[in-house]
Amino acid sequence: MDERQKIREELKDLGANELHARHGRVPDWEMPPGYLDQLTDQVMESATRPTARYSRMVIMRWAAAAVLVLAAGYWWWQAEPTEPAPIFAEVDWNTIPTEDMQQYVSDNIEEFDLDLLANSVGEKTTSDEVVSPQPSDAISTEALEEYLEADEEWIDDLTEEDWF
Amino acid sequence: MLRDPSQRERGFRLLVQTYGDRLYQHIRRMVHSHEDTDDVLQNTLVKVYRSIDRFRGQSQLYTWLYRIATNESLTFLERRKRQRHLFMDDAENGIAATRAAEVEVDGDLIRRRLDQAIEQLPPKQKAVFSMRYFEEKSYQEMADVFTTSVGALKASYHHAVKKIESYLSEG
Repeated sequence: MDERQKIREELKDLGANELHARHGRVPDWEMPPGYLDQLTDQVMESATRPTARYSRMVIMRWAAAAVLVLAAGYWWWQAEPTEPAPIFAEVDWNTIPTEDMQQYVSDNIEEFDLDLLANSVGEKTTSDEVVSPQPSDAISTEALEEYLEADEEWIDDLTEEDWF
Repeated sequence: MLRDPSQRERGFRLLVQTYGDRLYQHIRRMVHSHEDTDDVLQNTLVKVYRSIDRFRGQSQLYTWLYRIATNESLTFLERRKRQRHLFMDDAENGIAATRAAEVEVDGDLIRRRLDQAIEQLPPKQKAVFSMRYFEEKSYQEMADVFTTSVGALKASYHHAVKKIESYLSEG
């Protein structure tokens, strides 16, 4: 039994009467004249076109690069801490002994801007913490006279030039 | 001849002259319109030309060609199915208009009704039915093309026959 016969028997067994009646009666589609020659030319042209392969390679490379960039971006985003670290760490000055600080300044005195240090000292002396010199009238007259009497020989030693 | 670069073009032209019509009929029974058939056949032949070196000769040449053409047709049908889901109205109207115009030219009522019935099938059943009913392939030949079991193909064909018969009986 050939294949056509087998197919018809099978259709009968399946109760497909409509399909059985139509079997072998459906004509083939007609191709436009010269279609296959034209198609062969088109296929040869597109199959041997080097730009198509090149562009596919370029596209693949760009796609791979894009994937890498996305992966790196995702990794960076995942690795980033939730709270940004402070730019300068807070220093607890109380834990550093004064001697150490003085030693450090002494060892690295050339590293400091001397003008800045001088200004800093000037600012310190104007502050309330620094004891300002006592006004001269705070010394009693008796104390002054006693001081002069105790060692008045130095006045005798003064020359005329020293006085004027 | 196809593997020899100096003779490849001649060999390829001979291949298209020998199998072109059968491949055209095979693809058109699945995708229906000439324009779609043209696209699928062109893709098929480009793949054949580029991969002819990989053809080992373990199967017959036409089996290898049919396998590529069937895969290309199924890919096309799956893609069209997805597009129809996305642009349902436009696609349906466009395909129906194309089909109606072709039917007018052919004037073949038998083909038209059968065509409408086949259109309802899923892509793989469409391919199996087409190869068995129109091209009169044996299950073994189809198994070589689809790389699946004869039993699975028989089941698929029987399902397709039942659906088409039901559609034709209703009309």
